[in-house]
Amino acid sequence: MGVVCLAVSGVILAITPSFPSGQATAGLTGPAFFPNLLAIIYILCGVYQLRHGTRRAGDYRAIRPETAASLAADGRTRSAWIFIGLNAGFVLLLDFLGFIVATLIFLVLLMKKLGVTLPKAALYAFIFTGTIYLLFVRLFAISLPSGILSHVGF
Amino acid sequence: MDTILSLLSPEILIPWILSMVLGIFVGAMPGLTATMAVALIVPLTFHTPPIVGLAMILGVSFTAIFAGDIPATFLRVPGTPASGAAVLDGYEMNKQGKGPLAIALDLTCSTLGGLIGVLILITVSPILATFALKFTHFEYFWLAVMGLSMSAVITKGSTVKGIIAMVGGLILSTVGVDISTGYPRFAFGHTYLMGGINFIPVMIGLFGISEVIRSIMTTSLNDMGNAAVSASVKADFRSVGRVMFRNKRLIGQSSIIGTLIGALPGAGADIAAWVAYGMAKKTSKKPEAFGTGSEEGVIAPTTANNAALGGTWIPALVFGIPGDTITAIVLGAMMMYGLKPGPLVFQGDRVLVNQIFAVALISQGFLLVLGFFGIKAFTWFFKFPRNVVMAGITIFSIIGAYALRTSVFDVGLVVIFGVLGYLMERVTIPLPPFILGLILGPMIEENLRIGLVKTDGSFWPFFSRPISAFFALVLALLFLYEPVKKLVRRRLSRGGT
Repeated sequence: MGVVCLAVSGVILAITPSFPSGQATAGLTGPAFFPNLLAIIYILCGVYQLRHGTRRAGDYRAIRPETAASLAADGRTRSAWIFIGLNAGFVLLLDFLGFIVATLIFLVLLMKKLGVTLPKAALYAFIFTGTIYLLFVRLFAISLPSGILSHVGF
Repeated sequence: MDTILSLLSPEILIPWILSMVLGIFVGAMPGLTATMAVALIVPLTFHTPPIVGLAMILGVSFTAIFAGDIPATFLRVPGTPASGAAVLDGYEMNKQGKGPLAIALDLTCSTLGGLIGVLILITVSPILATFALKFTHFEYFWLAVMGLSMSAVITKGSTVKGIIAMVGGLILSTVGVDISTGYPRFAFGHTYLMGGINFIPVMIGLFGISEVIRSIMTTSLNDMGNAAVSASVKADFRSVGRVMFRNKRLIGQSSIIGTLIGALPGAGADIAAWVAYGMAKKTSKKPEAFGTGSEEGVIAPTTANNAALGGTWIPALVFGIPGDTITAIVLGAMMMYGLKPGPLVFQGDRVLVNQIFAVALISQGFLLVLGFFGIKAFTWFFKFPRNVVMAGITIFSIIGAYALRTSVFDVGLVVIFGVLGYLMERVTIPLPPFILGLILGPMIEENLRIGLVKTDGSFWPFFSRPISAFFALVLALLFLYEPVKKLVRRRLSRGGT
């Protein structure tokens, strides 16, 4: 974690010199002032974490359980990765496929992965998509992407 | 009495109650805010008499702020930003099978907080508004720092990890166009980043999506078919009276904090909730219970956020200055009705002012009844199998985030911060300070920099002005009291031996 803090502050301090300077004294009012201040605090936190974290890392390794439970968790880790992948896919395809198609596919795949049978997953996907459409588009008049269904008026 | 009776005609009551029902639906949807609920209602009010429109707006805001606590308590997804602090102990209580008590406390304390906020509005609004107007950039800076200092109070475990989270939030708040120079910071040429990082998708991701990931990681596929909330999901009002009586001082304290913060233009219900939570922990006899399902941790934020709504009307009505985004919309609407908010409204249209006060008071009664049915409606959904509820809450969170600015970028933020939130919790970095940093970052930076411009780079006015000095002193006392007390005790015990 200490390394992350130092890396973040390093990036900030590398970028902020390109910011314009402030109008008043000592750059205190320029756009770089506040990020630089935060970067310095992060450096202090990073150094503290590095000093105290390396000592504890050994303890973590020592207590890590290599049991049947942790092996079962590996399968769940894969499920979590699939969940994240599905979400990322939804974000990427939302504009192209449109809200209705993307949501139906996303929900069926997600529920299937979470152990819902296909017919039930399809049923719930239709119910959720329909509810969202009625609430957001019809009731609240919020436009959601039509995507490939734009020519049929959705 | 005549004022109250004049409001009980069907032409006023029906749209008023329907708006409050809408407020519950909007507030309970992650991503849809109370401001959005008000914005949705306002166009409908242009064709109604002013008092009908104002009743609809007031009603919708009170129910939306409360309803945000429903998914916060049962699913760990705050329905509105003002429910961010309600997640901490409400969800923990739910995990312990005390969700029904938590949500009943949310409803009754929201009502009571709202009631006290409105009573303060009615009785001392001119005095409070005058006080609020004395706040300049120096005082707002300290107010925001005070809010931020609450993250140190609410952090469990390592203080340094709390600071890392808080500074992380502050750093994220600097992304986007700089308020003073218009320079795009850390935007890397992307239009989305130039607009800054909105804290609502971040909050949905950090709390909601990370919880879904955690659930997937800890629940077996067999258990996924069980009900999402296994305990009774009815609101449990039996023990509420006793709990509230036990915490009457806290309810009073949180109501006053909520109203005072609400009365400050630019602050709002979300900041009020966090500050009230932090102060509750600081003044509690059992601070270690906060974050583990403490009743006090539920009562403080939910009381304060509804009390803040009454507070936001103080500068709006007295000076025509919006206390938050909701009252900013309300002021616009009032002008459309041909009303002129400000000092003259008390002399010119006293009947309307009394009607507004009466509407705010009666709305609390309606909130209690409609909130009860709202809980019933939403908790019905929580009886579905866990895997279905998780899929539902994921899609509602994502679409809610999209609806905020109709931006796929915000949906991406939900996913990214969902993963980040999960990882942060794995390495025991607390999430609330991160959110506080993100919310308060712009307020701190703007007021610090403008203050420094005014003083040619001198920090002295930040300490020399009376209200600023008071805030600085309170902050110092807040953090030095415990260490000094320990030091004195140690010295005394050494002296005794």
